[in-house]
This record gives sequence, C-alpha cells and structure tokens, in this order.
Amino acid sequence: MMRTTLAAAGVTRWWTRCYTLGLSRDARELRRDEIESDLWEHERDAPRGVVSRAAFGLSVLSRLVRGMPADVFWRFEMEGPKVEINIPFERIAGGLLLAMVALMLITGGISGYDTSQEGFGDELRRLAALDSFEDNANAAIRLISGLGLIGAAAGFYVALRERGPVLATIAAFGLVAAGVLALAAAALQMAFVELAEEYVASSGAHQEQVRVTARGVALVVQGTVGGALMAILASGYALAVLTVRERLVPRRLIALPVLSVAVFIGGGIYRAAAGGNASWIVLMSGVGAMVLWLVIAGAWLLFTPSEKRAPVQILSQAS
Amino acid sequence: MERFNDNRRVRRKPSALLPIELSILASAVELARVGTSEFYGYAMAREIRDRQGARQLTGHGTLYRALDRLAKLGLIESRWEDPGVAALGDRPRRRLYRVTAIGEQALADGRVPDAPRATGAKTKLDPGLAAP
Repeated sequence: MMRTTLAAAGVTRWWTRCYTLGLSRDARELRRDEIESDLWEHERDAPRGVVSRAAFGLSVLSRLVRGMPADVFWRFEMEGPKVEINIPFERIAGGLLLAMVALMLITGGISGYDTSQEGFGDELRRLAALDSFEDNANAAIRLISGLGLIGAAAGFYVALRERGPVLATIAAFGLVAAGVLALAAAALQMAFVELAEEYVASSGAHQEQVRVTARGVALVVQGTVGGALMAILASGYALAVLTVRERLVPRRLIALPVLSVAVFIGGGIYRAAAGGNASWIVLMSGVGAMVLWLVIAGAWLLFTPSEKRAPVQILSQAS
Repeated sequence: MERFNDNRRVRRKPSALLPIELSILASAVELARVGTSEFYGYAMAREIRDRQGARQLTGHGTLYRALDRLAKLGLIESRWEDPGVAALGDRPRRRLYRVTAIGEQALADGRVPDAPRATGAKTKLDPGLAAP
C-alpha cells in the first residue's frame, strides 16, 4: 500500500478513535469495526496505479473531512442526556490564538520548494533522499495542523459566537477553509513525495513525464498553501475586530491588523502602479504584523486575569 | 447558557427523514428488488454515488450516522457477518443491513410512519447491535 493510502487510512482511524473515546466498549468497537471494514472495501475497490492510489488517499481524506460534523453530532447523541464543559471563554480564545500561530507556520512550511523549471529535478532528488520516517513525520504534523485548524474553528465559534455571531462565523469559516486546504495540501505533498521517488527510480522519457507531473503537483501545493494562509489571515482579521469591539484586548492592538492590511493593499498598489515586485517583503511584513497580533492578543487573553469571566457552557441534549 | 444541540431539535421534526436517509432507503429497496437483500456501509456509499451520478462517495460520518438513525427508527435492521465468511475472504467483517417493511413504508411516505417503532422509543441512543 502506498504512503498516501496508509496515511489517509491512519488519519481516519485516529479520528475514529478520538470521537469514540469514552464511549462504552460495544459502541466504540462497533463504530471502529465498521470504519475498518469501510476502509478495506474502499481500498480494494480503488483502481491501481501511482496516480490512482494517490487519488484514493485523497478520496478517503475527503470522506473523512466531510463526515466530521456528523461524527461530532453522532457523538453528542451517543453521550446521552447532557455534557457540560465550563471553561472561561477568554482562556479558550487566547489558547486558540496562540495555537493559530503554530498552525499558520506549519501550514506555510509545506511549500518550501523551488518550482522553477530549471533545477526542479534536483529538488526532486533532494526530496527523494529524505528517509521515510522524516516523510511520515512531516505528513503527520501537517495533517494534524489541518485537523487542528478545523478544531480551532469549532473552538472559536463556540467561545465567541455569543459575543459576535457574524464575526465568529466568518472567523470559523475562514479556519475551516484553511484546514481543508491544509489537509488537501498535505495529501498532495504525500503524492509529491511518491512522484519524487518515482522520478529518481526511472529514466528517459518516463522520468521527464514524472518530472512534469511532479512540478504540476508542486505548483498546486503552493497555490493551496497560499489559499490556506489567506484564509487564516482573513480569519485573524475577523477575530481582531471582534476582540477589540468586545474590549477583550487593548484597543491599541488593532494597529497591528490594520498595519497588516495596509501593507497588503500598499503592496498591491505599488505592484499595479509602478510594476515593482515587492511580493516577498510585502508578504513577510503583512504576515509578520498579523502573527505579532496573534501572539500578543493570545497571551493577553490567556494570562490576563478577568473580573468578568463568563463561562462557556456546552449543553447537549439527546433527541 | 448555551444550548449547543437544541437548535437541531427545533429545526427537525422527529418523523422527518433527511435526504441522505431517503437515499439510503431508496438504494436499499432498489438493491433488494434486484436480489441483493443485504448491503454493507461501503456498498451503500458506492450505490448512492452511482445512483446520483455524484463524483464523491458519502462521508464516513454522514453515512454511518444516517445508518445508525435508520436502525434506531426500525427502518433498517442489521447483523454482523459470520466471521467465517469474512475470514474466507481475508477481510474485516461487514455489518450487513436490510431494509424493513416499515422502512419501505417510510420511503413511500417520505417520513417515518406513526406506527410503533422497533427500537425508536428509546430516548438515549444506544450503539445498536453489539458485535458478537
């Protein structure tokens, strides 16, 4: 079985273990056995070939992600009369803002390849030279970061929707989009590694064909990661407005997100008007200002004592 | 105080069937009509995809949550495949489902019939049939 396939099945099993944790043994084993059977049947049903196997891995991940909300609701239904969690929402929001910094860096770190035509073969050789443990560890971290973004979206929505339903929804939507894109990028990255190994093992016309395909995948990964980062930034702006409007963090902190937006707009105008290319500086400055806001605002919410600490209660009633 | 799940109860009548649940029942009835009286989860996902001409298979959570609810309502029933049969095929055991008469009625009506349900009277959902 290919690495992509193994990783997709592994993440599905891991998620199934997560949401069945704490249930009765019968309920837990029943769902796990059923998912195990599904994965086996799906794998057997999938067409053969390198690209087809990668597509199969993506299909499993897609089924996993699309079914996640139903899994969570199913878990609440199984839970019985009620589940209560009392956590100060400032602490949840602060922790999640700090987690966003790590998730942003991990997500952005996926596409670190020079995708220019010249020398791309060397990039593939460098990638193929990495040992499988390193590949698997990278893939696992990236998959966890994608799932983490989706989890952070749920956390922000639950913690902040009473304070600002529209902004909390925008922020959550941005993070879910980023999470899905990050998962897609991680899966594509695994396919990219497979292609790099095939490139090194092949020769002649086939090698050139693999190189072209691999470059296409690498460009898609870059685009997907860029989209994920933009979604995280959009989510961060919504959170910045919400936290300042609700006086959860000092008002002057809004200067950082404003600076970030101004840098991106200024960079765009400069590029359009003067034809200059300042994309690297613009990107680093804009993202840097936002990361700084996430760190300061997150630490403020997490560590500053609050006299008006409203608990978040999650009360689930089985229908 | 936040009531996390209550809005779902307000929006959805207990007798209402979701599109995915109707799709499962319709596919199960169609499969039974052509001689396949029992189906398993993945086969149902594939059947729904083929019937609807969709590109993607139904998500795991969506599919198994819907199957779970249909079983609780008595619209389908399930059993675990004989381990010997699974061992012969060198694969994990399948959980086999079959549409019931109430399920066929529900499909025709587009809603859960008012008649007493096989297992739907429980207020707390249980895991269904335990694996032997």
